[in-house]
Amino acid sequence: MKLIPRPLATARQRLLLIAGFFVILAGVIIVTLVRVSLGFDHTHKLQTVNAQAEDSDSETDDAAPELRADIEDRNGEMLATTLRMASVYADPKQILDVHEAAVKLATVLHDETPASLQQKLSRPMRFIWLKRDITPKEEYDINKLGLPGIDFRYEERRIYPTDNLAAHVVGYTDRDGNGIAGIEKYFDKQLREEDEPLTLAIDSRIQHIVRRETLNAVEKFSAIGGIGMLMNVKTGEIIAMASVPDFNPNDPGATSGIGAIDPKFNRAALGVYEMGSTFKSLTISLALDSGRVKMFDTVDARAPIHIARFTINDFHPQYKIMSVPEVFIFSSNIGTVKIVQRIGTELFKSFLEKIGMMAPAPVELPEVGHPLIPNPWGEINTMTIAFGHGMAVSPTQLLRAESAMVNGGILVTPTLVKKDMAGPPQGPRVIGEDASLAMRRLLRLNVLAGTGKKGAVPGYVVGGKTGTTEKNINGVYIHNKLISSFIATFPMDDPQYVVLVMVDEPHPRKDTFGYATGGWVAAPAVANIIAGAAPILGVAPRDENAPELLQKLAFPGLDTAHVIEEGKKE
Amino acid sequence: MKRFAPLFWLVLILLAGGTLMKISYEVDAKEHELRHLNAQLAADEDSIRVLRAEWAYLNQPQRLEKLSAKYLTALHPLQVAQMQAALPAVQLAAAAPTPLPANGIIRVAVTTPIAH
Repeated sequence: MKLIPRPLATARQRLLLIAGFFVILAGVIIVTLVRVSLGFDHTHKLQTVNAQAEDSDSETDDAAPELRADIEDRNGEMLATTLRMASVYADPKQILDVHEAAVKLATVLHDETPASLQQKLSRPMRFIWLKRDITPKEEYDINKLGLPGIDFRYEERRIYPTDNLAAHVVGYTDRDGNGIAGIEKYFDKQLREEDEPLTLAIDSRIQHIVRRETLNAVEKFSAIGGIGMLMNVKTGEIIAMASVPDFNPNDPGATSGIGAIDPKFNRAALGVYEMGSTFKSLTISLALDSGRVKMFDTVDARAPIHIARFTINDFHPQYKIMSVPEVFIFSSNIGTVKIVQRIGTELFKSFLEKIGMMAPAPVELPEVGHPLIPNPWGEINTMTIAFGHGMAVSPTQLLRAESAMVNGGILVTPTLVKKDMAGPPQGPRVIGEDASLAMRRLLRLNVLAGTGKKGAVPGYVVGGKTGTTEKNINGVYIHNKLISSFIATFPMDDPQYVVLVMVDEPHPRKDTFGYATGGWVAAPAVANIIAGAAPILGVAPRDENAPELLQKLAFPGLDTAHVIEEGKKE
Repeated sequence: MKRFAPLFWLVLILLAGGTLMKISYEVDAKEHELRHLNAQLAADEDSIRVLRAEWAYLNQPQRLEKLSAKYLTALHPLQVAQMQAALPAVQLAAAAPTPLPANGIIRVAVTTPIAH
């Protein structure tokens, strides 16, 4: 203490205090420095992310929140997508020169005139829409004008780039992006939550061919509507589903109507119809499978059947005793009734139940029609339903049942979603292999010699059954209001696809000799579909006269060539 | 020696401070760049969506069919007869690979349908 004078000692203490303070400060700085430069500081990063989100709300450069997933066809072609669309608005208070702004904007917004824009921009408001959902090009052009007071709001919008093509399948959403019809509604939750696009079984190219031919048939016969469908008989995948008239899902409000008149009504899945003679392929399959009727058993179809107040007659009466193939190719109602009488109501009903005729088709659409089933079910009902009257089912149900008749007897589940399935069809067995083969022979014979001749496509071994019914309106069958259909399978030696075309109220034409039946209206449309679709579907054409093919589809003991010759005379 | 201690600390502090400031500015610059890149990414993704939708729109089968009927008048849909006529040829070709033609042009008679 003696060496150092007192004031100096005090100064030294203060100096030490200050130096200590700086040492601590430097220490803190060094630690922070190390943390920041080596990236230990997570809080810092989180802050920047938040800052970034705040920076850019309502701006286009926002990191995208989940957009509704796309819908694509089986080949990845886009059927529905979500785009961020700009809508342009003005804040008139900020506009410097109203006249100049109006003139410039009118060069971009073509549905406005400088005068109408000037009037809008002069209103004493702070916010005014100029145009909703503008294109990216319009947005770019407006930005380039560099006008103050003009800005954009961004909204998500569901876009259907293929317009009407698969409108009933894909469906549509409301303005807020909630699915309200079709696949959009059925898979609403999945489309919201998953990023991956939803891949449908539909093939746009086939869908187009089916829709085009259905439209042509409807137009040619001045009909009120129609459907066209194509399904894989082994996987149940619906490759095409067209309902005519249709609508543009980009503007579903543009069309309206009541019930089935509404173009948005999906006739293929929601509509139920009395299918007529196409049902005979189901009845006769059962008859052959049950063993109660053999292929060359004969039935007496010489006279109409009178029951209660009804008379069952034939459209092409033959007035003769017929074997099963004849009943089938002349589409004899009388013969079919005689056959179903040997089956009996109980077995017939349980068969219809088994092949899915009594319940709505299990397909991924919210719009699925319930079949109309007679209740109580008397013997008369069995008799008429055997040839397709008195019970209404949806075309999808018929397609499914028919595929089981030809694919070897397995009832597949129809689906609109692409399945990766190989190998034999999956599902319950509804008829035996033998009965299925017999039905394939009958269907083929019908195209060679019977009512389905116009459904033939050389090389694709088509087999099919026509159907024509009078429409039942409030319990009365209207003579000149028909539903004409044709259901076909190809190739018949190894069935792969089943096609159905149905036309609602076709009108007879001079060049169809006054006919508007399934064979004249729907069969040519089906033939066009098969000719166009088969190469795309990868079905190789066959030599239809190859001995092994003829043998596979021939009837043991029947001179098929003679029947075909007879058929040609018709 | 003791006289230089405060100077040493002062220099160290200045150095540390200077480095911190530099790094901080660099981080800011990087963040700015990141924001810019993210914005660019989102904008590009939006553009891709728009372009894909436009591509799908331009490829509508309805539209392509009209255009093809208008401009590809020499081409027609494949007829069954064309394939059947070519079938034996295809089978032959599969049995023995054809040598290259003299002019070097290989003609593809028929493409095998692609299963899907």
